[in-house]
Amino acid sequence: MSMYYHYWGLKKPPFDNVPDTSMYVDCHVSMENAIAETLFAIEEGGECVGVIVGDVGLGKTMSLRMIIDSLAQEKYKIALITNPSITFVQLLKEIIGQLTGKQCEETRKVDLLETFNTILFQTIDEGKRVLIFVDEANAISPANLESLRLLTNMQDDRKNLFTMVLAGQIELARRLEHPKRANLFQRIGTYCKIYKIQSEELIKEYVESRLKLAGATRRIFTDNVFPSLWEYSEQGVPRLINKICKLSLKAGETNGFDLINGEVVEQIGQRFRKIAGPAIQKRKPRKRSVETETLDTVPDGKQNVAVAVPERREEKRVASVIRREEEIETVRAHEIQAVAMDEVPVTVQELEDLQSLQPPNESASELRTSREETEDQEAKGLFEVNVGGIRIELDIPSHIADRARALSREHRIKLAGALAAHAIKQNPQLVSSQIVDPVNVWGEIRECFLNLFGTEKRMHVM
Amino acid sequence: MSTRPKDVLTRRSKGMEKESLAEEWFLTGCRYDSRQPDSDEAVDAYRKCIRYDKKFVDAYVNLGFIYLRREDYEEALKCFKKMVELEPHNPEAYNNLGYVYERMDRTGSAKLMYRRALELAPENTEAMINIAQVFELEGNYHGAVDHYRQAIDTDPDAAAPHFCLAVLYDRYDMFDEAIEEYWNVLEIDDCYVKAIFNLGNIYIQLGDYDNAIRSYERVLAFDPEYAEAWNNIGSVYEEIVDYEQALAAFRQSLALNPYQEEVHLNLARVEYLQYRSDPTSFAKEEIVQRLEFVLSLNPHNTAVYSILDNLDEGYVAYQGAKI
Repeated sequence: MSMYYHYWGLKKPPFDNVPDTSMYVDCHVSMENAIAETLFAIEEGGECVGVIVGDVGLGKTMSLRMIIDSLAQEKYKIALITNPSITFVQLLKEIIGQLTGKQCEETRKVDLLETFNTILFQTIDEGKRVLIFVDEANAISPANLESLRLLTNMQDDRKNLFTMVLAGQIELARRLEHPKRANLFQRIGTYCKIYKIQSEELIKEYVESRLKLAGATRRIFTDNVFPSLWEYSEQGVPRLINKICKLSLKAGETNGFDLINGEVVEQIGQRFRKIAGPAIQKRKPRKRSVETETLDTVPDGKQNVAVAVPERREEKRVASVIRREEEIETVRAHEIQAVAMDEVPVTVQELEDLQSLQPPNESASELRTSREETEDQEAKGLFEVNVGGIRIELDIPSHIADRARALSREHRIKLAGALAAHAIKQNPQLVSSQIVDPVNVWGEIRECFLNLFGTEKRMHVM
Repeated sequence: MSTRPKDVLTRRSKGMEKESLAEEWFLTGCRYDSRQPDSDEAVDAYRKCIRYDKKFVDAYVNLGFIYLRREDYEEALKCFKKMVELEPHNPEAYNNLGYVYERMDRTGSAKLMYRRALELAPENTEAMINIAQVFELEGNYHGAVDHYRQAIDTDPDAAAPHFCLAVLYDRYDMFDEAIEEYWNVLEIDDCYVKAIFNLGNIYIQLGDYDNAIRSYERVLAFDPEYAEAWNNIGSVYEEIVDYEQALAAFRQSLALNPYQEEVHLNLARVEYLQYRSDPTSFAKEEIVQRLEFVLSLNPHNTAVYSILDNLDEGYVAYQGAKI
């Protein structure tokens, strides 16, 4: 079967996004360094903790894989933790389980530490060393980070009994560099940061080097490719570079091109941005059940059970009738505050602005009784609006409205927009008809909030 | 001292009564579960079943799945450990226990359980697929491929291993391999909608719009309420500059699910393209309002700003929020 890369005179695919040591090029300097330095630290055995940090998609997991695959397996016992956001006891059980190849049944932390210690010395006696790799280490809680530091105390007087490699997003770096973690930071022997490929020139070098490794003997990508590649790879994310280049080569083969130019790369970059990841199959639980007919019958002689089902049904039916009659939904004050805190902020400054909306002596989660709500509707700013023939109530505490009035116009518009989006989410009946565009409903509600905040009618600056 | 026959009979009849009560409560649990999945009533019923019969394994299983769906992993773990204790030679017990560990992010323990399932039943493709999925989580691409292949070799007529392998290839941008595996799925089960949908996605990326449209149309013939398929077919129409069809598809997608940020953006972009070629086709304010709605859902959506800027360089309302 002829493959697309044969068309380009290549011996193997140059831009596959799968781990392949033979395709590594040294233009992604930071990744290459991270692998080399960590391997050195492990093989020399002198370092206790290695750290690799980098943003999403830059190759941390791939680096860990490369490191693990490059090690002489007979010399090490390896544990790889992929998501350490679990309790320390579970983390230890997981590490011990992986190192021993047996399910760890200990449950007390002190016993687990003892077992771990024993494993360390046994492994040394076997002429091996323990390696612990923690991916997504940014998910480790501060308490677990401290506990991991304590693990690093389990070292022989003369040499390290194990090496731990933490890989995580930039947040991990921030945590480790915090003065509070000075004790752990001192234990770090190698500290590597993986960056994007940092310039168009380096991307060019990266692409051409990989083509050469795949057997290219001529130029395939024209020079005007690289500015587009820079843009559509989000300024140098290797995975995206590979994907765009691969799709470009395939498109070139389909269309019988001699060269790949910037226009091809541009088209491909725009195209694949729109597609999300593949749909996956959810695993279905295999429940143990009985015949459906049996389920529809009421068991004899068990009055408490037999009666329970219809009663519950009746309750539901009545509740739904009441709901229909009322046809009023209320956006509760605490929900509005929640959205103000969670969804609106865009910048640090905005976040601070919105946080200042929090009432000084009132818990956001406090629920008021309906009686109280009725009594102080005016004071609390409860107002009813009619949107597309459906009445809804928006409940916004007066102190929030007051503070919103003090915000800048841009912030008021944004806050009103976020509150309106939240309101229609809380009132799905507003957009239940297929002919209703939620944007129009949202626009109406936003105007209501803006009026409440005293903003002049929205003017589009056009 | 010998036991009197009457005592034996009483005990036996009490034992039978307990068994029967356990059975009744299990049925009740199933009934609640089928009417309102994961309800407290179902949990109560299964618990009562277990109270009457501590070895009623089916109740532990169903209870375990309820806890799993509620993300109460510690309780789920207890139930499936009990299942392993009661049915130590049943590979399904280890697959279930492994799955709880996997959900708890204890992938090593999960792998151990799946391997135990395989030891008990070397032909158990579910365990092979589960191990492959743990490898995927660990970033071990080649390990995952090997185990999916092992499952395919063991049961070549099962669609699931082919589909899982196809998705793995798809995630790693191995387009040709993914297409081949998706087609293998469809040879086994030509109604496998997710395989057809994913094929459509790959065809878009490869610029094969005819096949992409064919795939999505097929998906929508099976499931006219597949909102993502309407969106994606809209994107293909946009690519081939059939804006009317694109608008209709995006609107259909939004009618099915009105809160899709990306679809609103797609719709606004096509409206903008139409507006640019014919300013009477759409009101500029409507396009702006839709874009602002997208920003209210996600203030970080930078694509919105670029359309707003194109619409009007003097647009100021969100300038301060640019990130």
